[in-house]
Amino acid sequence: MIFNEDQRREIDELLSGNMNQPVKVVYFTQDQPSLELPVQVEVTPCEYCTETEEMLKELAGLSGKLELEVYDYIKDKDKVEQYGIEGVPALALVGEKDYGIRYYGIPSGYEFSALLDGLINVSKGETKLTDDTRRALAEIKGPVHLRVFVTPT
Amino acid sequence: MAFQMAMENDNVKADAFEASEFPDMAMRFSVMAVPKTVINDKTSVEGAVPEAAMVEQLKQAVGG
Repeated sequence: MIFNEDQRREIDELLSGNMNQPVKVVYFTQDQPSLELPVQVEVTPCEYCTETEEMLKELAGLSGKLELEVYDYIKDKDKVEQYGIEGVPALALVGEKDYGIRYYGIPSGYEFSALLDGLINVSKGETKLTDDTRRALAEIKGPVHLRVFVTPT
Repeated sequence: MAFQMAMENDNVKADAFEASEFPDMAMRFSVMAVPKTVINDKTSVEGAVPEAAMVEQLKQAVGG
């Protein structure tokens, strides 16, 4: 169990009270290095993959509007390519469409709140940005790739 | 904020990286403190900045 009883209740209330449309959480994990792999394939062990998966499974179990899909970073090459995944653990939040939102790492602490916010926004298909910001963003015609580095404290 | 920006414009995609779990990526983009936002792998914004300032940086990065 990752979440205790109180946390489960809080998460349930927050999600059921705010989620609108279903959201798919596409999770990429990695098996621990296996002896079957050719020696020349160097696989870095994924320290937090197991814990992240456990957390996401519990989370998905708390809301009927969350669907969890799990893929392997090494084996499921087509999905890795489709979602443009660069490492593990990784998750993509997909709502009515794929908005290009990815989170790399275990979403713990403050980042867990950010994940819940993200799920709610994607579910509603709307953001909390100001009208001015939305107008300014709409003017951007070229591709923008943002990488935001965070810590979970 | 980056996730919300990705939702507002299909040209924008947003990745969040937990810096300590992805040290190679953090090193590649010289991450000394968080949050740090790297735009199109070239320019970057340090710290938490207001929405308007971030949008301005995005506009500059795409040249308009």
